[in-house]
Amino acid sequence: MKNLQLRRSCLPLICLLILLSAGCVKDRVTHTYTINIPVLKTMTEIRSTIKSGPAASFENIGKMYIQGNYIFLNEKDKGIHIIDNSVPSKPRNIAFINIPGNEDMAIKGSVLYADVYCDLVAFDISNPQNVIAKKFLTNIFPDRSGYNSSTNPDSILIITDWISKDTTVNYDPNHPIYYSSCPNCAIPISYFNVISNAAVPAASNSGTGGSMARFTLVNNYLYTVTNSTLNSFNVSTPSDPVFSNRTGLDWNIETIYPFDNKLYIGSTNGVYVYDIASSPDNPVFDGACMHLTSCDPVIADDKYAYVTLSAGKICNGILNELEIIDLNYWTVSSLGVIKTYSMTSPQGLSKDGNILFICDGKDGLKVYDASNVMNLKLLAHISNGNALDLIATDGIATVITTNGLFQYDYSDLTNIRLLSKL
Amino acid sequence: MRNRKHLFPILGLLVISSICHAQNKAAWQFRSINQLGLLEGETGSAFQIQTINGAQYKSWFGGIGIGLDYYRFRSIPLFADFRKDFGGKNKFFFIYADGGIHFSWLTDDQKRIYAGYNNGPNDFSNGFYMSAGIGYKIILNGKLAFFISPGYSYKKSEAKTTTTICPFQGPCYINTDRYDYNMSRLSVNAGIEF
Repeated sequence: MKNLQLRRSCLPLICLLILLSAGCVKDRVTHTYTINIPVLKTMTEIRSTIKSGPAASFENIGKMYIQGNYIFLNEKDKGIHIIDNSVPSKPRNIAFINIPGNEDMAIKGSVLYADVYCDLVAFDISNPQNVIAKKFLTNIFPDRSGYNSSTNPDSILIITDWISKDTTVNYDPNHPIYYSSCPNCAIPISYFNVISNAAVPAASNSGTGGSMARFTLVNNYLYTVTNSTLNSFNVSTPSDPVFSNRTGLDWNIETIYPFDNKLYIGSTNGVYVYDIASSPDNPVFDGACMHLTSCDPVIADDKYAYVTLSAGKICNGILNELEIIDLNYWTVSSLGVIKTYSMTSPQGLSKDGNILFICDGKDGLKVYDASNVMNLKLLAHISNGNALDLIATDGIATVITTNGLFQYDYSDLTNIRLLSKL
Repeated sequence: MRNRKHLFPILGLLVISSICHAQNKAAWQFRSINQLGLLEGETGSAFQIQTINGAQYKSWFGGIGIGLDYYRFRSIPLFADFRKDFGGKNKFFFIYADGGIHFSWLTDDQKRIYAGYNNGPNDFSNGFYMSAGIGYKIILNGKLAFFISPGYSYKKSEAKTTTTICPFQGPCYINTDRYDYNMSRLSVNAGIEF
């Protein structure tokens, strides 16, 4: 009993000691992160791996280009799939061109222009199953060679892969990571001086690119955008592209779309317009419409530009909407935007006449009657996976999704039907 | 899946406990332990509240506990509890040991503070929870008892952020940042048992 009393009187002391000695126990926090070590190759080594091969399965498809009966589909950083689309209901994946570092393409006649990391290459694709590299323009996109100024392919080193290693270190728990982010802090400004001109017919032997393209052809010029530049190439002789000019742009340039002697350039901060009527080899700045930070491909017709703003980690945005910009009327207060429509996660878009197609990310493909842009009417909503980009022409909408390549016949808008899935 | 791995033994224990209770009502007694606690650790002070329910057999107790733990990240511990009483008729010393899982349930402020890259959500996992200590219990009247128990408590969480990085040069790659939080605390609990 005495023992018990002694122990009982000790207990408050133990509690007090425990509270006072709390500083003796430590939280142990570790941070495990990945260290990525670059795998470097010279451009000469990389060029030696470019070749035609048998059809390959789709893994991570990117841009798309349609030329005649063929669909060219970029496999991000790996090459281009060639699909024989002579019968749209039965497309055939017939070949794959291994092009390391490829992201974009454009086609004029039988010549395919593609980027190989920092180089531009012109392929003869007369025989799609055995394409031949005709000319390389070395280090023409220096932003992809770390702004290396060399033009010697032996001395240009490119990061082609990463070797990943996990590392664990102790981390100070009293200073937790807090990313103070203000993703949409851009100050809206607007100055737009676009006046529509008479339509300029595109070169008849050029194909059609998607709205996410960074390469585009207008007549005898190939225009490409990098993260911060607009490059023009004279392709009067298609197999012999000649670099013409480089125009500095704002940062975070994403897409380029040609219409009416204008180049519409989408960036995360807005839309830039360059005029190519007077000097196609040296585009002239014509106007811009800035918006809050978002991913935003742009297309245009003779009256309006259509911009999809998509939130996401890559572009830091929070907006998910379609903006319609009146090309003939704009004020600082209205930013030139006359109407916005809420979307889920809009990506690429395309327009055929009054029909507007929007890839709305995981919400699929949406088809609108855009005869009155102030009151778009939803005609169809097709779920087909995460819709990324499309080309709508001649009654067929070719759509890239994370589930593959889909083609829809929209000649009867009341009955849009799936033609094929690849 | 990992949660289930921890949950099944706990549920099994509960079932066994119930069966034993049914088989021998005289020897087994239902007990409910309800306690408030102060947790002290490197991060500072935090409260916890727990209820533990189970069966007493002579000086042994086994039960299932659930609670709220506000230390660093709010979480809900779910655990098996074992106790052994020592001592006299109305006043006992006891030892206890708990083991189980805690379910992360971050407050909005905690989510903001521990947000991942680009304010993306950190994926906070559930994790291991344990506690052990000693205590002193006084029978107030009949079955009602008051107790106080100092001890040690530990919980573990893993916060993971996965980001796709597209550098100026080279292909995009997936970057994973993982923070392992091993939280040690000293605790003082007080409560009632009936």
